[in-house]
Order: sequence, then structure tokens, then C-alpha cells
Amino acid sequence: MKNQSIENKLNRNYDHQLMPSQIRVFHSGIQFMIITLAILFTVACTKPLELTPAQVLTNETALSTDASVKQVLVGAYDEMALDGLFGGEVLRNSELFAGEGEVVWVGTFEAPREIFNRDILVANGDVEAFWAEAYNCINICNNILSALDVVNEEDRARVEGEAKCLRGWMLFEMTRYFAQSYEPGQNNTQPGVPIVLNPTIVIDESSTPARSTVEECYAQVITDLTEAESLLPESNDVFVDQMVAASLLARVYLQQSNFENARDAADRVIASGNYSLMPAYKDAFNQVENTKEDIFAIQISEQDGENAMNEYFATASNGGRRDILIEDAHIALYPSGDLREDMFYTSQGDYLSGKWKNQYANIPIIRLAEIYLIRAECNQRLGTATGAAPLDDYNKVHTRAALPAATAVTLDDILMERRLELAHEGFKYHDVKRLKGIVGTMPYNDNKLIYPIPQRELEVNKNLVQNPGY
Amino acid sequence: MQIVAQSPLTPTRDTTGELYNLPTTLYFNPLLEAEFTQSNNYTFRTIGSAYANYHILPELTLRGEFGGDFTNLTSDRYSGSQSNFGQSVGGYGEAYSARVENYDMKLLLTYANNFSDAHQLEVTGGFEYQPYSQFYSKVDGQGFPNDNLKTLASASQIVYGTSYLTEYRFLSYFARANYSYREKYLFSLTGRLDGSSRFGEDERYGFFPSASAGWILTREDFMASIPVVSFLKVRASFGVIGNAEIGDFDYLGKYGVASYNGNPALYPSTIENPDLTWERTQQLDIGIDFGFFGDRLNGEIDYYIKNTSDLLLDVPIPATSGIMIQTQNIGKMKNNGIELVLNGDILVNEFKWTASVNFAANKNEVIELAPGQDIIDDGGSDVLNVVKVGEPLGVFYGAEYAGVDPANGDALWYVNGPEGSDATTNDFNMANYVVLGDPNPDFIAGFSNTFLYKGFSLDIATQSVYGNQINLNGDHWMEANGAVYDNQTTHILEAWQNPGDITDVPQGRLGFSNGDQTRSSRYIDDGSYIRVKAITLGYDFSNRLMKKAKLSSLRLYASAYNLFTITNYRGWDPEVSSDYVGPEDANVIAGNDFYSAPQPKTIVFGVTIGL
Repeated sequence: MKNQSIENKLNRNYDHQLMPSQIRVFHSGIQFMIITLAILFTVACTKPLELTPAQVLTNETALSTDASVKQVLVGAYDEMALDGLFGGEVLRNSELFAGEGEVVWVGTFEAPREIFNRDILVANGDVEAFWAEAYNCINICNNILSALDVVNEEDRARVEGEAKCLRGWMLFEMTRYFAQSYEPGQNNTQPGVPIVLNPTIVIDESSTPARSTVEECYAQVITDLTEAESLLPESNDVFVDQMVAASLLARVYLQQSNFENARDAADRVIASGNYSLMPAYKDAFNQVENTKEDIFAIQISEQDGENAMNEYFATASNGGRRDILIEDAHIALYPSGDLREDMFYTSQGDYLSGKWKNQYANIPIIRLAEIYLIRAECNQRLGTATGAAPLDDYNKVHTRAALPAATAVTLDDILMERRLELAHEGFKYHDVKRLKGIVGTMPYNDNKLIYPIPQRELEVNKNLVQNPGY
Repeated sequence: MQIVAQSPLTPTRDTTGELYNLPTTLYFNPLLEAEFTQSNNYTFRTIGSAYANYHILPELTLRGEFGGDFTNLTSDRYSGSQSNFGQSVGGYGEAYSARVENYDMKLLLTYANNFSDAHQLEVTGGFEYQPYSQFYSKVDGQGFPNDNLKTLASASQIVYGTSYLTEYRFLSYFARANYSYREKYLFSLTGRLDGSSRFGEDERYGFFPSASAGWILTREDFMASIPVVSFLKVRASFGVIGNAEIGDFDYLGKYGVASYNGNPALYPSTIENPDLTWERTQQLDIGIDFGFFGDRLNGEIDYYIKNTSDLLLDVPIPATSGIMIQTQNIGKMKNNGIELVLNGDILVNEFKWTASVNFAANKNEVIELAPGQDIIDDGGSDVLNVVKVGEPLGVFYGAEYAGVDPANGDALWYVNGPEGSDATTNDFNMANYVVLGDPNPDFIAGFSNTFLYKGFSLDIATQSVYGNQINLNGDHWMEANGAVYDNQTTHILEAWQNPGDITDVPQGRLGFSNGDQTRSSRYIDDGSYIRVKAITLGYDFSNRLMKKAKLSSLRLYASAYNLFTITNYRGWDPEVSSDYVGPEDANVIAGNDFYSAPQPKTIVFGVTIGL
């Protein structure tokens, strides 16, 4: 059942239509000449067909001044905050795609249902929206990068850094969903997604790019994020800053199993001292302002933005559709006394995630807890103690949940901590992929465990090839 | 109408009279919406026009016309704290107001002369200017202390506010010459230069000429020997017309306005298309007007061919460009058809019977799109309508449903691969899309009758549509063999249950798609119907009686609408309107039945009193 409005059927219409009236008013030649001359004057002395739109700017004006280029930059964040991206579906689909056994989709929308069942139609609307919105964001960034010379010199590095950070981030998310996993030590010639580095001015043959390899995609992601980290200031209000770029690099390297670089990037974030864990786990969620723990969060308010995580994870009385239930098997993973278990609430006898209860709350995208766990995992794997010993990082997160401090830690402990700490925040699918896990009985590299290239794209761009299995 | 998605066992109200809601109901109870939501629309419309003629010479007239059409619309809506929309925010109120101004100014210079009784000439030149503007504003608020306080003054928080202006203008210069010889031979020539603000500077104007000729045979002497024929005229016309029905600023590369975290934001919303211009249709029309027996039987027959080029279409472009759609002039389309109207006064005595028949058949074909392009398909997973070369505009295109595998209850589709076998697959992604149906009817026809006897009158009007298909979009939920929790049609009772079952309804699998994919022929049905649209029985009291009662007229009547329909359509009503597509797509996205409310059967009793 689609949530179509029934308002038309409920409207009461009052039509007060005056009868058309034919009124003769001009009796003398003088009056007649006045009206005729007025019409002639209007048409001849103005350019009646030269209209400019009232709500939108033309290309030239939008990229012509410092202020307007910066507004285009804000537009990139607005795009990124859409439902199909970090407004929620990028996170939601990670939980659904690899969610069998821990969550269950009970909603009526077929696109997420197909993702949850790992039986995705090539015309899946959510997959298409993700592709389109991510490339829209990339195109916005490319437009900004083409207009840097009109940006005030003192802000130029920041603006360039933000645009490159968002562009690399989008490419990273797309490569993770549309391509087979990055295999460390391999050539990674499997198709990734098209890399677009120039703004679209007109539609021509350059508008139909082919897919680059996964290797090339990761290389571009790392180039963009590395440049962004060097260009960006250490803090930047609610927008991406140096620490966001470093955090993203930590994620990218972790996804590649490049543990040294992931560890070092995570360490740079923690060493900045800019962030701290919230004393209570529950206070890291459902907040209308960024917390001390948030490295980056999508900003939502009553006036601006839509929290799609709330829409799918919360009950109707909390503003949601109650489409995703949490299975008992997941709840059973928490050791007794773990405060993170208290985040769940029940509705009609089923568990729901309490991380998304407030429809006007920000959506945390990168929390410090994740960065601690990246550093812990990498140090543990490498047998190093860069920044801190793995046990210390582990305990930071572990004890915050009111659990007793561990005296020794294994890699499995850290991975389990990550699974509990970051549950239902969009990590599930990517962790299954890099840890070579299984979903149900489906191995991590199954053809059905990546998205199809949207059918509409294949039809309008003959240079694209579909993924095997679709 | 989606209340039908609820389980039929759902109770409506509890013992205290309160409406049930979740979790007793499966979905949010729409009756709460009916009970706790209030919406009012007020439209005030003023239409006025003025004109003046000025005779410069007896044969030369200057005419000025000035027309205005103004609409003011205000609406308010309140979704109470128990409604779906208002429940999590303590009531949600909206106020909307709009103003539409539409002017039409014309200046015409006409030279008319009857040189003798034989030659009549009229030449007109002039221009016309039509500016249009639409402005609206909207404000939303939430957090109302009490559901009785419904205006935004009581909202604790204003959460949305906007205003919006859009405009377009047309400026046309035209010249027309009409000539007739002894009112037997009629000729006309017209040339128009139309300009529209919807196109870029170099493409704004289009030239559209036309010519027509007519011959009234019954004015010829030789026709006098055939008295049965009271009127006969043959006519032909050829002309080019232009179409500019697109968005107001589609040719521009634009940045739209948004906001993030309260900061103003800009984002590219369209890509420039400086070549965008008028769509052109060449139309040839041949017709005959006729009357027999002193026009007791009269009518007209028309045949036309329309060739349209530079079609204005929303064309999907690679989303890697950042944009998904661009309005382009693409391809060619052909329409041809016949139209027939026949009126007859069959009985003319005390018992009178007049009848009228109309019939129209049109054949539409997309001839070409962009070079190398065969199809425009932007339907995603749920809209079947496409634009495809060699097919009518808006044909249904998708996977061909092949029924159910008797062995395991899987839904099957024909692969329809290039090798042309009739192989089937249970993997929807492996089924190649083919043309599945056409939402355009082969013909439409109407038949109306009026009977009069003394003061009694009986009007019967029927309409019929033949040869169109309808996609039952809502059946994707209502007939999903239990893939979702929605209430299902009784057809689902025939679902596959045991190996060997022969049925066309796949096995029910809750939470899994098994044949409920929208883009398949499974939910397409024939939409032909004949409907008795209106019957009115009336009685007019006689003048003599009226004089005594000091009334000018008195009429009693009873009318019945949509009384009776003959159709094989399996949905609720074949006379569907898809209320979920915008008007700009209406010519392509046609013939979809998505929980469309059926036409009501209505019976009206009335009295008309003339004072």
C-alpha cells in the first residue's frame, strides 16, 4: 500500500465563480486610442518574451560570486541529506541487505523489500535514487571545483576541500554497493562505477561514461579524501572538516583491509582531541544538536530535512512507518547489563531500534566510538599500539555501556563490540563484505549481494555494463 | 480508497464510539483522517472582457480587445492530533493562497469588401499578446494546543513557509484572408508568427501557415434536381500548428533553491537546452457536411492526418550527469483518424424522438525518436508507459506474464529473447520487456436520445470506449498473492497450493515477491465499456397552468447517472483517471488504475421553477 494522500476525497470545495461578463466600455474614439496605444506600448517598448525565472538562478549567475558558489556548496550537503543518501537509505539498506537473522522488513514498499530479500529488480526505485542522488551530489561538487577562482582567497582551500571530500565520499559509497568487494593484494579490475570529475554543461558524448575499475575508484576516493584532509580546517561548524576527511579515510582503508593506513587515519582523529564519548550511550542518539561524539551528522530540524531512518525504524507515534523490526537473535547478542540493549523498545510485541525515535533529530554518520574501534581493530591485527593499546580503546567503548572493563581482548571481541556498538547505523553490509561473512546462506561475494546498475542508466548510456547475476 | 487494504475483519469503533487505530487496524485507519482532518478550498474567479471597434473607413475597421481572467484560491487544512499526519506533532495546519492572472490583448485591422454580390473579401492583420502569471504562498504550522483551534495563529511552531511565482507570455502576429465567390466557393489563407517566452532567444518564434477551401454544392443549380439533399459541403484544409506546452523555463540551465541546516543552498536543477523550440504539427483535414430531408438528418464526416515533428518530450538522460530529465525536441509522430457526427429528428409529431450519434477513431504512431534511439522508458519499476518507435504514445511495456509453474507455484514470465522461443523464466530480471498493451482506445462513441410527449421528456445518453487496455496498478498490492499484509481480492483464492495445481495465481509467499512485480502483463486488462451515462425523465407543466400560478415555468425531473455499464473489466470502473500523475505527463502516463474511485451511481430528483 503506497502512502498516497486521500486528501482530494476529503476536500470540501466551495466554488464561487462569477458569471463571465461581457462589458462594452469604450464609446469614444479617444478612449479607444488610449487603450490601443497602451497595448502597443506594452508590447513594443518592453521585451515581452524575455522572462527570468523567479525562484531559480541561471547557470552563469549561480557560479559567478563568492557567496553564490558557497551556497552551491551548501546545496551539496542538502543533496547528501536526501532520503536516498544519508537522509537514511544508504544506512538503512546496509542494515537490510545483510540483515537476515537480525532484522526483518515488514513494510509494504517493494524496493526495500527486494533489498532485504536480496532479490533486487534492475529497476529498483531506491537503487535508482541512490545512483541519481549520489551523481547529482558529485556534479554539484564538480561545479564548485570549476568555479574556485571566484571564491575569496582565504576560503578557497576550505571550499575546495569540502567539495573534494563530498565527491570522494559519494564515489566510495557507490563503489561499495555497485561493485564486487575490493580484494586486498589483487588487481581489482572488476567494474566499479563511472568516475565523473567534470561538471555537466551540455549533454554530449562525454555524458555517457563507462565504469572504471574498483581499483581506479578506490584510488580516486583516496586522492580526493587525502587532498581534502590537507585542505580543510580542523573544525568547520556542522560541515565536513579535516577530521571528517581523516575518518572517512580510516573507513576506506579499513574496507580495503589496509590496516596501517586505517589505524593512522583513525589515530589522527582521536589525537586531535576534538571529540569525546558521551557519558551515556543513549545520549549519542536522538539529539537535535551535534554531540561531542559526533564527527559528522546530517542536520535535521522541524523546518529542514527529513529523517528517513526514523521513517523506517520508528513507530507511527514516533513519526515512522514501523517497517523494520529487530529480531530476538540480535537482542540476545548483548551481555546482561549492557546499556545498549536498553535502547530497544517494543511495539505490538516486537523490538524496534531506539536510535531513531526522534524524527527531528540529527542523523549521526560518524561517531568517535567507530574511530576508537577502527584503531583498536587495526592495532590488534597488526600487533601495534599506535595511539593506544587495543584493549584501552576497546574498554573505552565497552565500559561506556556499563560493562566491566576487560583485562584482555581478542580480534573477535573487538568485532563483536563493533557489531553491538554500531548496530542499525549502516555498518552491517560493509562489515559482512570486508570480513568475508555470509548472509543467510549467501557468501559475501555472491552476485546477488551487490546492487544492479539501474536499468534506466543502461538504457540511456550504452557504455555501461550490467553486473553479473542481473 | 486504500481503506480496502485493511483486513475486512477490522472493527470500526470500540464500545465507547472511538475509532480503532493501529495495532487493531493493519494500517493507519483512514477513517481517523476523515473524522479529524478538515480541509476547505475557496475559489473566486473573475472573467471580464471588453472590446471596441473603430471604423476608419467603411471597409476598414480597427478592433481592440482586452480580456482578463483572474483566479484567487485560498485553502486551509487541519490534520488533527489523531490524524495520520498530525499525530506525532500535535496537529498540523496548512494555509495556502494562490493568484492566477491571465490577460489576452488583441489588436486587429480588418478590411472587408463585397466588390459585388459575387466576390466577398475579408483581410485581417493584427497581433495578440497573452501574459500569464501564477503566484502562491503556503505556510504550515504544528503543535496545536487543542484540536478545536485550527488556524495557524494557534500553532506553537511555524515549520514551513514559501512563496512561488511563475510566468509565461505569448506574442503572436497574424494575417488572414477569406474570400468567397457567390457563397459557393470559400477560400482562406492564414499566416501566424507565434512567439513564446518558453524558448531561448534564437528559437522563440515559429511560423505557422494554413490554407482551406470549401465548396457548398447545394448552392449549385445542378443540385436542385436532387431535393432529398438539403445541404452538402465538401471542405479541405492544410496547415501547420505549433505547441509550446512545456514548463515555463525548461530551456535554461538553472539552479534551484534549497536549504540545509537553515543555510540557503543552490543546486543545479536543469541543464541548458538552447535549441528547444516549437513542436510542429502538419494537419490535413478533409470533411463533408450534409443535410437530408430538409436537414431532418444531418451530420458531418471528417478524416484527418497529423504529422508531428520536433516532439516536446521529457527525455531521460544519464544520471551520471547529475540530472535525470531534459526537455528536448525529439522525433516524429503520426495521428490519423475519422470523426463522424449524425443527428436525426426521427419522429416529429406529437411524440418526438431525436437521436444523435458520434464516433471517433484515432490511430497514433511514434515514427522516430533521436537518432539511434528506439524507446524512452523512464518508468522505473512501476510505471509501464513508454514512448517507443512504431507504437502509439504511452504503450505498456514490461515483462509478459506466463502464469504459474505447476510444479512449484513460481510465477513465470516469457523470456521473449531475441531467438524468439516461448521459453519462460521465474527470474523477473531475465524476462525481456515487450509491448503489452495500449492505453489508447481504438474508438470512442456516444449515442444520445431525446423523447418528448406532451409535457414529458426522456433523455438517455450512453458513451462507449473500445479497444484500450488499463493497467490495474493497485492490484500490485490488492492481488499480490499475499506478498504484503494488504487485504487481497478473491481471485487470490485460486492461488497455487500443491504440486500439479493449474492456475494463474502464484503461490502466496508473505514478504517475498512471487509474481507481484508491477511491470508485467499480469495486471493489464481490457478497458472497453458501454455505459448509460445519464437518464433524465422530466415533466414540464403547461403554460396555461403556469399562468394561473403566475410562474413562467415549472419542471419536475429525475436523473440517474452511471446507472448501467457493460464491461469485462475486472477492476472497479473502466472509466479511470489516474490521480497520481501530473498533467505534463498525462499524454504518456495514461490508463493506470491506482485505487481509482469508481464513478458514483447518482440519482437526482429536482424541481425547476421559473419565476
